[in-house]
Amino acid sequence: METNSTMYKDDRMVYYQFVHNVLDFSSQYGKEHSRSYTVSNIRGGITNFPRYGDFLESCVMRTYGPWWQECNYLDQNIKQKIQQPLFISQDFIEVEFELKCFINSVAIYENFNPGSIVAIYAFDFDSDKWVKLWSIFEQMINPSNSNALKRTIPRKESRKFMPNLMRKDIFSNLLRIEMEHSQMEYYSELDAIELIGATYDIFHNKKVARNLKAIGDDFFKKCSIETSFLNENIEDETRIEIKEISKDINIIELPDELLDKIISFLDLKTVFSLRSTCIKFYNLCNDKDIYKNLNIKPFWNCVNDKFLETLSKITDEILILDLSWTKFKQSIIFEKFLKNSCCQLTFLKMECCSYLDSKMLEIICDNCKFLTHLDIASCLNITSEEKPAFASISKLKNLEHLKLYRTKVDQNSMFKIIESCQNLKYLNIGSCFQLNDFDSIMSCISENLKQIESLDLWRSYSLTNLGLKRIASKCKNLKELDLGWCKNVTSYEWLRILLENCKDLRKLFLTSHKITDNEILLIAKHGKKLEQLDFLGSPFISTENIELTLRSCPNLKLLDISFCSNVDFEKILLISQFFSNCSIKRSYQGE
Amino acid sequence: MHSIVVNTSRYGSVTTTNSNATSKLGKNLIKNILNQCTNKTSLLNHDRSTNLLDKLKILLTQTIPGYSTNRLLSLTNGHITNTSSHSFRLPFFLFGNSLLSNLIPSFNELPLIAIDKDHELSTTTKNLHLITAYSGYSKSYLNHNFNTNIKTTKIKFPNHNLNLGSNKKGVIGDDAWFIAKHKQVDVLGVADGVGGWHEFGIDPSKFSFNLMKTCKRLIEQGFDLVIDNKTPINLLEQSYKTLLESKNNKLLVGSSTACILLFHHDTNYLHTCNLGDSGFCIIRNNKIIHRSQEQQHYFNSPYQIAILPNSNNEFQDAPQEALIQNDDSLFNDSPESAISSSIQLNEGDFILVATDGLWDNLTESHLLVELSKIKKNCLIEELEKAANNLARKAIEMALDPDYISPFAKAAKKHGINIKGGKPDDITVLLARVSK
Repeated sequence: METNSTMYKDDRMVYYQFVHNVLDFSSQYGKEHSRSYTVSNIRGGITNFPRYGDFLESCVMRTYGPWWQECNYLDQNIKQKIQQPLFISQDFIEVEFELKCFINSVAIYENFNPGSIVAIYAFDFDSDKWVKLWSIFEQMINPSNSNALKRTIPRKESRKFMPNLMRKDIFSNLLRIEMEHSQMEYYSELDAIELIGATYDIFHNKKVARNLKAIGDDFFKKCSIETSFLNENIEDETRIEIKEISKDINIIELPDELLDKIISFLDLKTVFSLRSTCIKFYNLCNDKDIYKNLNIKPFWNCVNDKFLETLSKITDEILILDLSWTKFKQSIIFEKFLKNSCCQLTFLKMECCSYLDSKMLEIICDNCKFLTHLDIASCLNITSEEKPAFASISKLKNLEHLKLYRTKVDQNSMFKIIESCQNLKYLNIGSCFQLNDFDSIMSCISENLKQIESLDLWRSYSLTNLGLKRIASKCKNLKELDLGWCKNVTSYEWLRILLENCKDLRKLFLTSHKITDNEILLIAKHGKKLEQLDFLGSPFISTENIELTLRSCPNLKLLDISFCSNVDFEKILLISQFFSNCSIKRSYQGE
Repeated sequence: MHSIVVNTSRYGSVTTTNSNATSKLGKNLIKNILNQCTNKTSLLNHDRSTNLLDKLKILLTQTIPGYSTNRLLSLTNGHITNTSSHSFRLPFFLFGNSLLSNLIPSFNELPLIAIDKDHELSTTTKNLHLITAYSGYSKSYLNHNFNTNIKTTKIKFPNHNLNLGSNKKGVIGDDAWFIAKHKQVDVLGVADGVGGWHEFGIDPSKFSFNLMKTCKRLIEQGFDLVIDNKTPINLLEQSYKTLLESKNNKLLVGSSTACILLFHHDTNYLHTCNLGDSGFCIIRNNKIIHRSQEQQHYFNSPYQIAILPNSNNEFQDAPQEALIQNDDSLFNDSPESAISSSIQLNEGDFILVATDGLWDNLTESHLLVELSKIKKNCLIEELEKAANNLARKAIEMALDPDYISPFAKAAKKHGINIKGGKPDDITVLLARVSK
């Protein structure tokens, strides 16, 4: 253990550990199984900190900024009948450390665009639950989602983030970091996470001692200070007041309409607590209307199988449901819930649900015939080995939006889905590493999904010019096209066709494509409606043509020209004041 | 000797240290003890005095047939001083944890077994590992007086507040090297950046340095692969691919030879891979028992892995593009074309890893003379001295115009008649297999 640089013990027997293993995460910038810009880079000690910059050794999530939500229908908020709780997390990482200890503090080394971390959890083995150690709401005077979103983002320099933890009595080696980056100006990157704690509870013992001292001090204070009786008097008075009020009004006697209104100000957890108080509230809280649109993601760490069981008894007509990040255990209960309550579902989001396996997916597809939105991103336990589970998605004929980001969807299933879900408008098959012939998928899309509006093909390494040509000539409704890191796209004849055909194109990501001035000129000429452009890593485009693009695309909101070494960024900065609507990005790397 | 270290972590991460065959036994033993302890209400809760040791003793003898009580006692003696008297020293952690379980009643799901923590037990049967020293001279040093450039790689805990990655440690001229440690492996590597890139205004050390840096990072972050004779090649391939994925591709254009050695503590096997004209040799009892093979496309043009500026490249307007593409000395070989080999090592064996700056200038007898000066059970300082002497010797020979160097001999074979050494960057890593 001592030769292992990821662990260090000081003379107070306090362990300083770095991440040993990554257990789960919601998204990443890099390629699956790679070690550039991937979450697995969070493992081990510090690599670049305190150097500030965009390094491939960092842990980077897939998105940042408000751009992604603007176009992406799936990320729209679910309008519930009851209140949304305080929750803004968008991404998470779950990591394991070698040695369990009483977690005293957590240090997160952020080396690019710090400030995205909004919550830290630890797994408590005693209660078998993830326990919140810290969240952004803890330090706010008036906690609210909008305040948290408007939080002050720290300065752009590397920082060692060590929040004050609410609890220090958790004995664990599992941590979970949650992030929100819609306010970030660029990708935020983490270098390492350090867990600090002792294998026995010195801190707790100190606390016990402190508490004892405090109790003692308190006792002596009370003995000596005369004003204490005054305090008692005041308390008596208030008590009387409360009694008087409570004589007049009994909440149970309020009319149901009013109680309904009151309930609508509660969040799901409170509604469930209220439900178990008395028969009156039990009946009120069993109103199916409450559960029509449900966002369970904020409660991912408090819901369990029991909850699901209850829910399936209460309602049989859930329409919109977000179950992302939940960790239900018993598949039988989940199956029952699907069959009882989800037959009417039109919208289902289940990102990063490890319990969602091939069988479950089939049940979903058999039961929820009316689904128009389906999001099963990062559900890596659905495999195609025994039988092609993904093919059952093709039964959902009404499907309009399908997100399969980072799943193991296979080639044949993909063909089936495209051929039978002819209403698809939004399709995300980014980072689907088992798809190995994107060109034929593209030609299948061009024949079957002519009305498609949004295509995310992030890191589709087998995609070439051929496939893109097909798409460009047939799918004229395309509004968004993400071709980031499609490294085998080398010539750009398709781009001309695309720009001439798709007059409504809003978003075009050509990340790491090494495009040249010819392509830029095409974009400037035809892409009048473009709002988002990404040219990262195109070393030979010139400053003049970037300027031209800015002038000829008046709606431009995002332009990423990171690592375009030929572009004079100083000059672009000067020009940028004339294009205040457009946010021009340039990432950098320290030498 | 069979030693057991039971981690006091109550959730039972258990380490046993020993050679391969017995560690399984050790694991079963611990399992057994843990089982017994969890089944019975507690081994420790009721009587925390001598009975603990007695019970432990019985358990140990029951689970390891053939191990006598005395033997085990002699092992535990170092920690629990006097078994018969009541006043044995309880290990600190046991105290800490039991104190805790008194304070927080819900914490006693698993009983606490503690036979130390701090590895004092395991020192006696520590696995073989490598002690490595490095030294080197860059070509630019040649004009100056021979300043030494010695540093050690004594294992130290990184000061976790310090920045470890910013300085250019690991670069000697166009060469780069790394030494990495993780759990069961010691890994050494050298890479020689191809000097031809100077002509295009590219610093060749950037590629070699980043390649080595990535190898080091992958090892230290836990390169999760089965360790076998293919591991070094896999490591090289993975780092190369990692670099290819960089956003900033301009920074990384270049090419390099590479030599990676991985010593596996469990089996004492050294797995190696070598691409190009860097190399290593293994010296046992003052004899070279193994030497890596050189790979060349033709004379003085070694195999190399490269990131070339591709067709749409940075040099589009410049005539340099044509130059690069027509330059015959720049190749792009696959990491898989590296030669791999595996050899089992004994205690006291030396491993010498170096770039061609050393191999082109020193003969085998030079090496053996220098290494024979090292005493048995040597300290790191002596290795450093030897490594530095080798590097200095290589430089001296390189500057000798009349010396018939290995390089000159090889040239002669290819019909080139030259004399003298070959001035080049020299990187030397010298490791000794130690307990």
